[in-house]
Amino acid sequence: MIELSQVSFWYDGASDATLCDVDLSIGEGELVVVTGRTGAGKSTLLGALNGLVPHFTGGHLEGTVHIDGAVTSANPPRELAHLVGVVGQDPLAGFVTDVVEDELAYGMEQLGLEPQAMRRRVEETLDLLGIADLRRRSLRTLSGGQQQRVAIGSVLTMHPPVLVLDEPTSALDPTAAEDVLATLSRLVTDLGTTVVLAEHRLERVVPFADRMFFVDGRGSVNDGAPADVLANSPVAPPLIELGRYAGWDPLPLSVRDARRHAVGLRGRLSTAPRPVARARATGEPLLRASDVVVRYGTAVAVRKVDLEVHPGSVVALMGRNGSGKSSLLWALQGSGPRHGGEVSVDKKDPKSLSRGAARTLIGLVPQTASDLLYLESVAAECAAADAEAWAPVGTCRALLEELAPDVADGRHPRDLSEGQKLSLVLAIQLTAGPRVLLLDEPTRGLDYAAKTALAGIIGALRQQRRAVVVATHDVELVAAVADDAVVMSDGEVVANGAARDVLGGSPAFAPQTAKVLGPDWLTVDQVRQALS
Amino acid sequence: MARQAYPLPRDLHPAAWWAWALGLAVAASRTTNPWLLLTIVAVAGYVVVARRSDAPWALSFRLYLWLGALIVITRVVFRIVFGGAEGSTVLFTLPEIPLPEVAAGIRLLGAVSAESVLAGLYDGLRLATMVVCLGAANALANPKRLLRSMPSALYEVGAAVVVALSFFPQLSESLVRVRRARRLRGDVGKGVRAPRSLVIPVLEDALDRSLQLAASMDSRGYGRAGGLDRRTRATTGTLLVAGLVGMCVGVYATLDTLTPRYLAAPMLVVGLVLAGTGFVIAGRRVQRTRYRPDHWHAAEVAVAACGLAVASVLVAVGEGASAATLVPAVVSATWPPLTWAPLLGVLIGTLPAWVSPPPRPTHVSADADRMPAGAIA
Amino acid sequence: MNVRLRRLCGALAVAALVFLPVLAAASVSSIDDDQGTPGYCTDGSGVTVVVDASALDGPVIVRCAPDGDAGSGLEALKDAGFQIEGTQRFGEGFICRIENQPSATQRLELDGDDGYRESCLDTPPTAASWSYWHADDGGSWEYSQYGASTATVTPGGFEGWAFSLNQPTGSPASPGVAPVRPDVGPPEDRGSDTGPAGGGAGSGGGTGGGASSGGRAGNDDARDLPPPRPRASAGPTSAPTSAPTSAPTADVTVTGGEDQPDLDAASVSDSNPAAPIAAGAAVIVLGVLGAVAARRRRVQRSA
Repeated sequence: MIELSQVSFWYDGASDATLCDVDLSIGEGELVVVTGRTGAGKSTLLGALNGLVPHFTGGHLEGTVHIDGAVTSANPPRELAHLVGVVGQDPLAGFVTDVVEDELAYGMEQLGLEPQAMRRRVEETLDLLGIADLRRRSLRTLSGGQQQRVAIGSVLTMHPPVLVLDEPTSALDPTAAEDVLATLSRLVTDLGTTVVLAEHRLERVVPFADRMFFVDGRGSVNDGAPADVLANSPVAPPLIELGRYAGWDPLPLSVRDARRHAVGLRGRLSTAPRPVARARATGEPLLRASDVVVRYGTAVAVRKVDLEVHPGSVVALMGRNGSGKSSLLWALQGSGPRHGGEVSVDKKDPKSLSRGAARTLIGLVPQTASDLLYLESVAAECAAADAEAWAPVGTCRALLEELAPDVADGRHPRDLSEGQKLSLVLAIQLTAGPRVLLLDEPTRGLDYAAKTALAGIIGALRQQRRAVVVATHDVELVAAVADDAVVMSDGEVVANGAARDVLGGSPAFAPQTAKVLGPDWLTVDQVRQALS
Repeated sequence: MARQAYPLPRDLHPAAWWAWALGLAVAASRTTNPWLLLTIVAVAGYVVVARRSDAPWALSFRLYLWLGALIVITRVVFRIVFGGAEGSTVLFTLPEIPLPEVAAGIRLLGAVSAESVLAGLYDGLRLATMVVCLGAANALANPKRLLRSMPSALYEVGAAVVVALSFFPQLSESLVRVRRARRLRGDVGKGVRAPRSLVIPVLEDALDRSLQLAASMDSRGYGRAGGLDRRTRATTGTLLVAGLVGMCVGVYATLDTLTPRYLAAPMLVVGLVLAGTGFVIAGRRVQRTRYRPDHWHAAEVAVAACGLAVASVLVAVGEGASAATLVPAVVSATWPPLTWAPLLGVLIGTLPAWVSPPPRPTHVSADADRMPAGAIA
Repeated sequence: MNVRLRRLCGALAVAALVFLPVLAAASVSSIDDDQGTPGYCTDGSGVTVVVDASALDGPVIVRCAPDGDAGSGLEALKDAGFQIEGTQRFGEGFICRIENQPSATQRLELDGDDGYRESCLDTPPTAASWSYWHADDGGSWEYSQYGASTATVTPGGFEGWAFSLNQPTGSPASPGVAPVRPDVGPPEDRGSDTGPAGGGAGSGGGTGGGASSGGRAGNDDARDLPPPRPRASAGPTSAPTSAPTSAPTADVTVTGGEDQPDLDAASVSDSNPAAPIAAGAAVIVLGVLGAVAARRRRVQRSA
């Protein structure tokens, strides 16, 4: 179905080739996962399948890419639209119309199908994706998972034999991500569509994959069965790490496989000392919030929430999209609306202070970190940050060195990778020296290495006796880093306790290690420590 | 049985609502009589309330009303500030601000008379009414569906306009987000740097989104049916542009009574012919189809006819004997006069509220196909 | 919701009732007899205002604004008792109608638009507008370089307003009356002397024989003004725009404006007093119906 022969590609003005002599072959009806570090070239590889590379992005492509017989170099993407359907990371940015039904029909209109056929296909796709009751809804009112499904549907109506998805679940909470992946799996098994998808969070996708491509960042692509590719790759989900540590062969790809292997390990662990829970902090909490209420018109986003964070502790705020986590964080910082309740950080209310003074008490890194960046170079941003925080010159730069050592001064902030952008914004916010730091969904777009680095940063902040609150979906990060976990739903706190208690037994929130080994073991590191 | 003739809920062809609204707007442009203008606003408002759908774009009518009120207030304030003493009924006197010799003809503030306030009111009310009529069209007919109904020769233009229309809500959303984020960096609201810290992220965001949108449209086949050769495209383009220019000139000349008459009807006809030829030539070769296109049924014709009727009645009254009542003089502060003919003409504009079918509901209830509780399964 | 509706209706009704008395407003007669006097001014303290609507087949009216220090030409025009109407858009910055000339229903035959009607919404076209002149006593008409609201009048001088119809651009017609103040005899000389303009001493131009009407308020012999003499000078010397295109004819009938029809009566006559009330009622009814429909829609949506 898809053949890449001796494909090399480099962008205009780039010294290194992004892809170098790549030979790949994908058969019909396979589900292939493309993985690799950020910036390694996954998007370029996926773009080459469609013709977006080079027709849309520019650059030089050598070699040939065959899609079902058609050659991409001779055909711009629109001529291949009936062969390859592409779904991007941000579905809302790719929508052309207003209404679900019209969006599904858009591609077919361009293909010139007759109205009868269009109506039939729209109905079929609505049923296939389970969005039939959304047909006349406006696209902007849908949730993230629904939007992603509509985006998939909008390319499916053209009945392409190949479906290419670039990080489809990165913006979704775990449940929505499961939905989307289940849909994809169904497409593969029922319709025989060939699916190629790039994903960071491999733990969700690996059970479904037939093959895996690992883009190593130096131009070549490793191709093989998932277990083989993951055995040696630096990026690996916790299951694989556990398997590597325990020496299981073949490496387990799903929790079910792992549990079968894990009988012996569980036996050993039953006698090993349990991981020592960090002592619950006592004394005066650094951040105290009581009865916080946030409303937008008639909708109540945060409904009388209490929170206490002690110095030197990390609290994870979890819950599905729309449960009020972001609203709570903004209300705590004082820059967002707060319609009731009290917040005190170090005995002061951040909302009553000026913004400049408030950020020296409590800093927030928002979801889209790049909203804070507006200058042309990293050095300029750091200089501005020093000026805003009345800090001595060079503070921000020094902080950035600690967080992300490989960021050059002259680079444009928008050219940095997600992890580097996050580090830059963290450095900017830390320049003001706040004792409490709030992070809103920091793991979006980060690969495993960057997440490990982030976990390290948060650990360092804890060492400095600061308080950190992290709102996230990423259960693995929570397991690695958090002391306490607070689960929110529909604006209220549903669970509040030690991370181990909240994460351990819950089917939705348990990390992979806990699913395999039991509620006492949250991370592979804990297992390593216990058995060493 | 009594409900048999009741029309099923459906959405009208957007051009029908636009024809109705433009008829009202043309009627409003012919008069400054506040009775007629207020009646037009009431007619437009009632039809909007009766026939608009629940979609978010349909809720913008209130904004147009506010805009209209703003227009009227601005005109009146300008009149008060720059020349309010032009009649005999003085309402109140503000202290006059003396101006230097160079501005000898202008007088600020001073006595304010009812006549000048009324003149400002009438003037502003006419413009406000036209704005409200256009707002009614926007609230009743999705502008994007209107663009979809355009002839296929103008498809690319329509697509560009549709994309631009969706651009602004996104722009305002990202503006709100960036403004909120800016507060996290401290008091960056002052100084020369402030607008920059707001504008740059928004523009970069907008650029990113446009690129993503373009890639998405390209991947889905937009521009695929461009199998026309260069000569045909050039011919079609020229015909279209010439036709549209001719139509614009013709419409302007028809509505503005001072331009020579040979520019009005003849240009309009010539423009229509040219544009029509261009559309036909281009439309024949295009391979695009339309999903569920809107058709013209009897209800659409009736609605459009109502708009046309309102405009015709007012134009006819304007040419007739009692033209003076359409433009009441503000020589003295009296109630403006009114005759029956224009009033009844304007009231014809309410007919679409009953003649057209109710709009389709946007949300289908989730329980639509579950059996009622007592049914035997 | 019903309470709110009722309150809204009540407020609307109260508003209507409060403004109802204004309906019976004073109707102003066209020429304001309290202002100014018909005919030429008798002495050098007032300003004579000449309004020449002959291009519209209208009268030529001469009246005197008694206070020569009135200020601007516009105020002099008003002080002489003329009823003027400005444009709706620019107010009295542009004079559109003087004494209802041209009226709203009168069709003017412009070059290029046969049947043009002046609605006084916007500035009138150059081919059919009032032109503003001024002259010293015994001098010649000069096209004013300033607008009526900014030009200052000289006491004893003449203010001229002539309607120019289809004149070539840049050369409007001057008023058809010579700017000469006729000499008036001593105040006791009151007789209804209608003698023609014989000789009579006077400054170049004309004398006022039988000028008892001139300057006497309320004297009905105003029609017997001496006919204007042709001007001595060839034409107005003011620069770029003016040239005499119509010499004053000897048989121009000049009136003091007493028999002008009542403007307001004319405009009110063809309207129906019930129609505005019907319009107001229609607005209220539509508002109520709209509120009811909106409420029903809201109930349906939340159900």
